[in-house]
Amino acid sequence: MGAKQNSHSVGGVVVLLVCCVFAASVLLALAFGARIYRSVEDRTESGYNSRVGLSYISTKIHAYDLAGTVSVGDFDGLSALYLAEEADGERYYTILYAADGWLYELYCQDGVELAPDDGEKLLEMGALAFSLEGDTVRAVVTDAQGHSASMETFLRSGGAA
Amino acid sequence: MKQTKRSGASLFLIELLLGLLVFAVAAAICIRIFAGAYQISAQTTALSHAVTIARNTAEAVRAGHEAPQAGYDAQGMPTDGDAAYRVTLSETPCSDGLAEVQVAVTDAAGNELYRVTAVKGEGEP
Repeated sequence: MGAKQNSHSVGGVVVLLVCCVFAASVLLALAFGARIYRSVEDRTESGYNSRVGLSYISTKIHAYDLAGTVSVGDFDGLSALYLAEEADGERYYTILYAADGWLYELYCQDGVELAPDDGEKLLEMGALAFSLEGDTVRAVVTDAQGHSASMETFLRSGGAA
Repeated sequence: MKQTKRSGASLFLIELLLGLLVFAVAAAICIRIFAGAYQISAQTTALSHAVTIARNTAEAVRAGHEAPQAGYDAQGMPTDGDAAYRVTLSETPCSDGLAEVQVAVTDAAGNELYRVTAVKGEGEP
């Protein structure tokens, strides 16, 4: 009688154990798959944002590449690229900068005081830093994970503003 | 009755084991696919970096500048130390005083990731 009860108990424990193993395996597989998916998604998004953003900036620089039209400066504490043009005797600036995780573009008349929020959001981008040395414009973008990407554009017009 | 109960428990255990076996096979296939996806993602990231590096170098060549850097780290930033990406230039004279420059980006193992062609004036750096 006792032996039969023991065998019943052992059988129940074995079944319970197998159920636990099954549940643990399911959870592990789900966690592994979710981790891989998140990693792939983050890489894809980060690479896309930095690459497309830098390409856009480079294209803009080439479009405005005339003598004295390209300059780098500070826009409300943010590193910004200033692209100047003349229209109807007035000077206008297209300002490219990154704020709050976004790449902004702002078109305004010279002398008008505006805030970073007044620009138009283009795409998500991390911290953006511009530098200008001679005829070389360099843009470095750093995403939230600390990964950096850089782009150099050379001014064919020979120099900056 | 007792035999029915015992056989019922045994059948349930066998069914559970079979289900676990099927799950193990499916999980093995999925994990293999996940690993493949991760590898493809890493290759895509490397290609993206290679394209950016090649583009920057080609820009410098076309503008008549020296090539920026021969070695780049894993993030595609210039480095003088251990390089994850290397740039090699090969120049071929063309007609009309121009020269065609092949910009090739390779990984640390020497596998070519990306290649682009730029044209510059012959005699420029």
